[in-house]
Amino acid sequence: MNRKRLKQDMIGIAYSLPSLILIICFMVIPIIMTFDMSLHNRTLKKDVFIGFDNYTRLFTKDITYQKALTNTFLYVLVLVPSIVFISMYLSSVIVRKSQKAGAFYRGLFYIPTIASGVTVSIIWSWVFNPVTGIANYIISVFGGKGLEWFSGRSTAFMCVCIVSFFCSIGQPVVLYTAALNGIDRGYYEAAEIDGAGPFKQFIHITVPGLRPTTLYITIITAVNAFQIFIPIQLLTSGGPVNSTISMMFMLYKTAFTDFKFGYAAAMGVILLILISIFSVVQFILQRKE
Amino acid sequence: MRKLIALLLAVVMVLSLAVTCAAEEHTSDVELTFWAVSKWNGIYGTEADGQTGDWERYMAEKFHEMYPNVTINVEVYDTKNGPAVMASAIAAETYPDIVHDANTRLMQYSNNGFLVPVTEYMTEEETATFAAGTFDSIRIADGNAYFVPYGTNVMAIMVNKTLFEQAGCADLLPQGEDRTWSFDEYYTAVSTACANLEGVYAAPLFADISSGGDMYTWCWIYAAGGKMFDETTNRMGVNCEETKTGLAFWKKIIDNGLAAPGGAALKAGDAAPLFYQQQVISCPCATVHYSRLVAGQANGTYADFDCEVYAVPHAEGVSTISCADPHGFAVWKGTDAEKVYWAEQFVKFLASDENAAFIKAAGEVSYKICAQNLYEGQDDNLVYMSTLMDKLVPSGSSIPGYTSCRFEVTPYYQQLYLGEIDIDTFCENVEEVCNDYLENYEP
Repeated sequence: MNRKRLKQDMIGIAYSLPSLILIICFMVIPIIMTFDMSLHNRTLKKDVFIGFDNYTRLFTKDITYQKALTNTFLYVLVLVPSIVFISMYLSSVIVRKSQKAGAFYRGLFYIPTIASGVTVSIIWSWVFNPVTGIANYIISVFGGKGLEWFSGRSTAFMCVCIVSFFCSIGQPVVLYTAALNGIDRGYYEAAEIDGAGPFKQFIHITVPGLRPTTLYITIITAVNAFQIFIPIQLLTSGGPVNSTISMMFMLYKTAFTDFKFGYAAAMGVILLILISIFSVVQFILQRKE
Repeated sequence: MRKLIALLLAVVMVLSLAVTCAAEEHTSDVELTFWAVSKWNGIYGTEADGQTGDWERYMAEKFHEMYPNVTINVEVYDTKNGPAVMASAIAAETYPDIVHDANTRLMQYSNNGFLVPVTEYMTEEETATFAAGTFDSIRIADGNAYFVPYGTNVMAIMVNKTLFEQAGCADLLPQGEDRTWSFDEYYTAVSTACANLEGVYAAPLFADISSGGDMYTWCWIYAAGGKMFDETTNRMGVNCEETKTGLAFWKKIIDNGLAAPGGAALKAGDAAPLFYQQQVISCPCATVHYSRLVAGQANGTYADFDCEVYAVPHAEGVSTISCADPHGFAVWKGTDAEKVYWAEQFVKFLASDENAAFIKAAGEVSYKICAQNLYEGQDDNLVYMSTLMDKLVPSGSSIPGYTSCRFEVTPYYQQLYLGEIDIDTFCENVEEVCNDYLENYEP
């Protein structure tokens, strides 16, 4: 019996071995190396062990990093709920359409996801151009005064969120649409007989039915929001006055403009810890429910 | 036995001598890697199907024809991702043998000790073929220059003369051959023109210098007799009256609504297109911006308006200034002496007199004495810009930490632009923060 079990285990291990090797080589080892690097003052020229000095400096001296940390949490707070709720709503609308129309809308919302983030950001930079952009043109058509979108602290932050939102909405819409199709129609019919309106049906049938998908989407969206980079790099460079700077943008700049690899590695480790904590908390909450 | 030993020794000596001679003749096969930020498409810049890197590959082939034992592999990398690629290559010790890049990054590599000093492979006679002061302007603190400048963008102001004529005030533009004007003359000209035209701004002033283009903002400071950096001490030297005068003029244009909207977050690369689209009537520019306009007008991308180039306006009593943004070739320090030797030869070949005129493809100005009149009889504006080469002010790029320090300065520029701080506070903050940064900067 034990021998048979062992054989089965070995077969399982053999099947997962290629993935395991890849994960160890490209995930586990780099994470360990990054942590090791974060304990060093490593630049292009030198590599000196300094213990936790990089971490101490990040939290006690580096005001720009603290701003980046705050902004990153704000991005997560704004983007995760808005993407989850709006994609859920859009999917519930799409799922009621005919098969052809549903496929068309799913494709439409998915385009920004498969398009290059760089291309999408550049197109949005044209939209928000204060002199030649279509956003200000539309405002002027209605008699309003155009905005200097990227120059104001709050408007620049909003622009980054809008661009990131449109780049991220596609996958949740597709996932929610698929999940909605998986909910038994009988529940809705029974609820309707019991006199439940669309809102109650949504709260008591749709939302619980979508819970596993919501967990997945929340985690994926949060991970992406924690790592927000491309719209900032292309639209605002973290400005004005660091109002849109994110942890990932600062990490990139520190590593590849300042060549402070050790310091950037410390930022990366903190980001990893934050994302891990967020994901674990999400799983625990979901399991409790 | 003795005879045999003597014979063996003689053979060993002869063989050693032969090997040494062979090494000195540098005849062994060598494969080099050349990483280049390509400045133009095609070989001459005029080919319809020209690609980036064509010229670099052409030069590598020409060199291979001259020295068949040397093969050069060209890799083109762009300015956006290039630094990250190079940083990874340095970390992995897979760096190239030869690099063509902008001065800011080459200065970074120089200050980190990665490049071979020019004096190790160029004689005084060879450096004398470059315009006076060329190598002085790129020396770092140790007194050495580490790259050979090939081309540069000289700074001036592009003016849409057609719009000035439509506004009925073309007579307010500089009339003299030196094309110079004072701050007041410039302000009167652009404010009058903007008042007579609808939806046109004076200039695209910008405050986001984090990714470069500093000189388009600093030009107003230097044109007032001020400075950003004190290159003798490698520190910021911004807190002086002249600098404040320059900044006050810059701010006057912004505060009076003459600057194009959105300048607090505008990047250097997005400024010139506003001029091409005739949204602004003047624009601080580099040679390449003007050349792009000419090319765009020729192929119908931009409207066909009359563009004149003038000097950057200056404060009363201050001479005309210009800034430059050189790029060039450098030899990476390596352990293989043979590779380093041939890399040096290839850099000398690229920067030789016979290859100087290729820079016309980028619409830039050459540092070579033999190519000072590249645009004579072809384009008056480029001829004029070439004459500004002897009016260059220091750019600060040789200062260790300069490139990353830009990121520290940008928020203060933006605060000043948005009116959140005054000029005095700006100067005090920038000097304090940046000097602190530069003092603690570690290559």
